[in-house]
Amino acid sequence: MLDFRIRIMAIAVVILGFISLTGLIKQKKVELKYALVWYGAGVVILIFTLFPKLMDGLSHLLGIATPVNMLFMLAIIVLSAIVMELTAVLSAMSQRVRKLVQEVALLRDELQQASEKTHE
Amino acid sequence: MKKLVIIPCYNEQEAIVQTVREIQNKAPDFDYVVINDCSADNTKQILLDNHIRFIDLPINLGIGGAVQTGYLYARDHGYDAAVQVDGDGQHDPAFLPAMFEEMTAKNADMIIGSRFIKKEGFQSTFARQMGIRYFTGLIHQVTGATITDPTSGLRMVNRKLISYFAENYPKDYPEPESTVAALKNGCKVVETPVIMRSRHGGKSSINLNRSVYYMIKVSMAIIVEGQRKHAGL
Repeated sequence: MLDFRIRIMAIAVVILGFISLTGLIKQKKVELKYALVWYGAGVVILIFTLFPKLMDGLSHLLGIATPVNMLFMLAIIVLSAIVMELTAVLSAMSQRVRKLVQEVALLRDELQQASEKTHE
Repeated sequence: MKKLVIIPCYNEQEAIVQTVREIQNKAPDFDYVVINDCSADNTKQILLDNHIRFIDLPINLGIGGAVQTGYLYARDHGYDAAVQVDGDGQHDPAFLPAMFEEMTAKNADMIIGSRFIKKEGFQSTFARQMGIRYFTGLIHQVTGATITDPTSGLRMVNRKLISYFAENYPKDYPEPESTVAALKNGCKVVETPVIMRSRHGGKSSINLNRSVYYMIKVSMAIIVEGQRKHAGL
């Protein structure tokens, strides 16, 4: 069972998290697309704090002794999944940057060639 | 008045020539530019062979990035109005001259071609229509304006919005969000009835899984856009 104080803290942290995340998105410092999963995680935490019996039920189902342990395990799995996704996104982005650099370099060359031709 | 048709194009090898020719025939005093969003099929060669004016994106950006490129082009070349026409042939360019007249006459900043005012022509699937009705309601909540076809790609804007969209345009599913941005900046947005057709060829890029993500993401994007500080244009 979750202690009453922990539940209040968790709710407060999630709400603060939502507010600051939304603030970052409003300032266009974070893309909504990548933030969705964090909103999702926050909602799940809120559900668990509002219905602690769910936590007990889930940890029983998974065969874990303490609900708190299950919470940690879930948190680690979710965070790992998020990190994996970000790694994939980063990799894709670095490939696009490489392509962009090559494109710019080749364009510069074309421009150079073209301007040399008109100066002949 | 310099008017530009922005034609975003991704893998539309079957439809693109027909789309462009139709625009040249039915809206002859509009310039056009195709934005080739790094198509993987034969689109680029077809564009070259047919001497069609196009911008060639070296990396795929998606509809938002492609259309924004069009707005950048419109801004840099001093266009007074820019209208988006999809590369798949769903939009009938016969409406373009009238749309420009109406936008000018009503002193509007943006005019959207809506399928749902007169409900003629291709109306899309029932599910999509319900989704669109939902967005109409949400946008009304956030801005007070009633936009009957917020996902319509057939939209024309004036200089003010060309400049704004050139710098601020959403990456994916851009139509509802950009409409909210325009409204929140105090722009006048009107709609006019149009008739759309089903695609000439190729495949649509929407499916069921994407639809759920789409509904959630666009809803949140509309709400957040509604809350941003807008300096007004």
